[in-house]
Amino acid sequence: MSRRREFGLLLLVFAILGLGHWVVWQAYLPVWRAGYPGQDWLVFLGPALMALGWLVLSGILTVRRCPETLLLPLVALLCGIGILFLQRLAGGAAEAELSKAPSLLRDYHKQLVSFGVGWLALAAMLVVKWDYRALSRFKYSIAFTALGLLLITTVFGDAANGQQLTLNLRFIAFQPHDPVKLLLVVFMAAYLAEKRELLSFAAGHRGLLTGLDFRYMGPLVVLWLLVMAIIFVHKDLGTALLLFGAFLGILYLGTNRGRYVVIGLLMFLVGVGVAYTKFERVQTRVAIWQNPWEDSNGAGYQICQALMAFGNGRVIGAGLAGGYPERIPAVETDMIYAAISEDLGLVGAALLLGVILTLVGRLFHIGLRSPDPFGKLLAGGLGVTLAVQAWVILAGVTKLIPLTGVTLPFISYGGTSLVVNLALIGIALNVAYTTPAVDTPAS
Amino acid sequence: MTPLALTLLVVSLVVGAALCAAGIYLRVPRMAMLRGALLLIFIIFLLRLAYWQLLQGDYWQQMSVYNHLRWVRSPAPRGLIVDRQGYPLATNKPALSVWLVSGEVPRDDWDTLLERLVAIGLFPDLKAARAQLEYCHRFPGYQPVRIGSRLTLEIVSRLEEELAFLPGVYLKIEPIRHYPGASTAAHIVGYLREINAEELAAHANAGYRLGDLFGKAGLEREFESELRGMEGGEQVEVDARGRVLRTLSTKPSVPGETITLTLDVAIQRAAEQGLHGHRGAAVVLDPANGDILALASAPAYDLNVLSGKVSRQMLAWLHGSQMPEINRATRGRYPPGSVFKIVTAAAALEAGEVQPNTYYYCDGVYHGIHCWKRSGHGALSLTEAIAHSCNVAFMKQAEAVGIARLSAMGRRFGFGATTGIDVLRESQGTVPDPEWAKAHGQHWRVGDTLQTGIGQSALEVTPLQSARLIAAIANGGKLVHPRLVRSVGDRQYPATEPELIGLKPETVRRITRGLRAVVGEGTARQLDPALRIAGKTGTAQNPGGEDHAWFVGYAPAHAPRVAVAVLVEHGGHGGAMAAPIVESIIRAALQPTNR
Repeated sequence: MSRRREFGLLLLVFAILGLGHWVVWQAYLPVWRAGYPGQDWLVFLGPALMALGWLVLSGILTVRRCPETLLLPLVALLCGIGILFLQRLAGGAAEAELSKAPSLLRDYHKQLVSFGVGWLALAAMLVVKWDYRALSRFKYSIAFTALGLLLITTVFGDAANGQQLTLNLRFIAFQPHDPVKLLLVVFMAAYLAEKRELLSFAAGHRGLLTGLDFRYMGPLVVLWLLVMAIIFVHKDLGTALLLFGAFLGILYLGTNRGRYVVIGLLMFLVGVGVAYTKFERVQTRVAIWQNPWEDSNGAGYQICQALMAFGNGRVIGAGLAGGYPERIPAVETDMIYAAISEDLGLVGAALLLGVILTLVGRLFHIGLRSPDPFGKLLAGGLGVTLAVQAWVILAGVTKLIPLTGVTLPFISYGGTSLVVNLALIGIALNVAYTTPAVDTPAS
Repeated sequence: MTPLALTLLVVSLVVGAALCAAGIYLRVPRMAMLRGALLLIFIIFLLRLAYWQLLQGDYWQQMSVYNHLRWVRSPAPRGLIVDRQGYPLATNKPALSVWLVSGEVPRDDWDTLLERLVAIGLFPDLKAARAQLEYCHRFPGYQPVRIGSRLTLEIVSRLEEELAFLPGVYLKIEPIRHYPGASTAAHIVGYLREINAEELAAHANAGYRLGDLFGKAGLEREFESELRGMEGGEQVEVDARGRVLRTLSTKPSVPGETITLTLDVAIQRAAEQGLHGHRGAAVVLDPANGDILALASAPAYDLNVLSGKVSRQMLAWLHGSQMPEINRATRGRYPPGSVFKIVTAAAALEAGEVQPNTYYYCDGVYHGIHCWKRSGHGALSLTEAIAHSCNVAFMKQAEAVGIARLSAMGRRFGFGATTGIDVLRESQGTVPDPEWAKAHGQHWRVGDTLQTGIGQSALEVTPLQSARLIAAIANGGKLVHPRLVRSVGDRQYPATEPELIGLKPETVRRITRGLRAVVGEGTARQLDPALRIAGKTGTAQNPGGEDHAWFVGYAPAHAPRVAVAVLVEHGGHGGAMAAPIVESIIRAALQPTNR
């Protein structure tokens, strides 16, 4: 019965996205005619294949008797919006004859391919009979893999914008911070689930610093050091903030102790403070955040353009393909939300936010329903990660905090991010339908 | 805006902390707490979004709809070039120019706009206008591009009339380079042109853009980076007509540095007037320290003309046989003729070949080479030989001294090498000797030594080198290092102390006596005795035609303040052609108002 609801929701999503694609196709008809000579319908090929992919996944879930029916339509909507806006930006840039138009069109195609890769990963995770609890057994291997990736990036990474974040393996280039994020969340959940039993007896202390448990302080300090390394070596404030925020969330879920969150936040602030005094790059970022006008044709240009896009969007937006967010630098990655806000207005932007939050809430729901402590922490942790990541970039775009370069999950252009986030959904779905063995300790 | 954001953050943190405390106190389940916390931060975000889209929406929408933000570059005033008294040789003056913001021209209006601009007279025809348009499209649409400068009053008034029908076209006052002296010190000062593609590539990191001016010659080129200064600009909000509504941020420009020269414009002018109508060069040095008081090359050209659109005739003249762009004072190589007899005399005196009682007998010819006075001078002392510039006497001296010592003396006076003013291009000249002949596949003969003694053979010197020679006699035997630039901004370029070249005081004294006699009774006796000039004429034979006329001299003879060298190409006799020019220069230089 409920599987039919998923099917219905997916059709609704396809209808919404299909309408969007039709509008974009109409708006930039000459662009598509020039881009796909004689076959401008090819614009619809990618999105149509995507829809087909989602239906296949829905079928697999039905076969596997998955009780979760909301996750797939939500993710399909987010991915679809990402692709829709990439197409719209490519069209807009081509029509405005911007020099970045060809690269935007290429990004649109690349993102479709990335979705294909992510879809394969997700489908494989759903078809193969595996149990997410296997992850728990390999938690230290997972942690070391994450550390190794960071280390390799530090040594071999390609420098872009003064940051060393891309690992180029000749045939494929990817940004290790995205997989590292997922691996560390899995590790944290497994670690805290294992130590959880010991916790229940240590409760009862009051005060911020009394009765601190080294089992929690240990990982807290280790992860803090790791995050500091990401700030100081990779100079990636965004990833550091999102990793640490997610980690504090999981820690709180695992221990039910607010004090670790407070201590962790203080430690993070200290680290950021030191980074601020040490690095001109961080100072520049903060200066731009404080007053983008100072250099509105240089460093502050991007944020000023984004604010104009918000202003132009108003309540109901300029309409899909009605604004001109394509002029914002890095609009396809950091600034995609500004583009959506300009075209769809406050209403559209808030609705999108609602979709993201519903997805996060759904992950929490999966966690709550799982009888297994690891499953609870894992699903909850994945939810927190997505929420924090979304917040870090959205708050940056709206000049609430300094802008950092993390992606808006499922929506921003970025192959690694998309694949990793789809894998994340795969894990969450596995948690949702894997019935825990009877011998789990009763809680 | 920013205080508001900070307040929002602080308030939300406080509220969040309070809510957390309340939650803990009420033992709210942790999942609910987490959901609440996330909801809270997203509500803060949503408020922020609403702030931009609703409260600040009007403001930002206006900014965005008409692309109303513009970065107006304010070019840095280029540094001045001034003479030793501060009189400007290169300065800036405001002028109107036309700019085009291509992004403001509606796509269908391009052709109309171009036709209008042609009708106004900004472009000669549609083809030229289209070429300019191509050029504008290389820049981002919001960036103004200069499409015309140094406009005539007529074009300006017609532009102003029609400005309302010319979308994207703006008139702007900007400083342009102005050379108040027109052709004064033209070869030293140099001029600017718009930067070309090669220069742009070579200076890619210095922030030049197409349309920027760039030093093409002289000091304008040599000190381009110092003169240029740092560009500033303003972020402005403008209305649809391009009127500035308000300025959002300003970055002041930093003016270029002032270059102070050792030149004295009054003397420079006198030198240029003296050379007017001839081809040649004049150099005036301060014999005490080597300061270049004047350095002129003729023909010269009006720098203001070269900075603008150069006509075809002008271009043909510039590249023609007169070679006006060559700085003859430092790059021209001429046989020194009798001027070199000073060197011969110095070599002979130093070698002890000329005693106070030595007399030379001139019968008009020696080893087949004639004296200029075919009938002969008879018996001459050294003083008389210099005064009358007797070739036979100096050939005899050269023979006695030998080419090795003679050429060595020439080099001691700085011939055959550049003088070391790095800021101007220089020629080395040639001091020939048997080794030089060998290197050039020739055989050195006795006749060559004799010819060298009277400043012929393969000898080649620049007017600046000759001025240095006469300065060395004037200051008692010290070779000066010419200095042209006194300071750049705050940096001083101190004069280099003149070097003694090891002449006996007696040598200098006896040559000096001869040089005074040149004016008193010799080849330049028509000069005003009141100026107390001492000097030497030269009439250099050359393969190009009529003799080159030389005069090198200094004044006042008892306490020299200026040393002058003048060359007039194919000017004939040095005493008749060059000496009066030197006289007029010295008259100007010694005027109490000038010095």
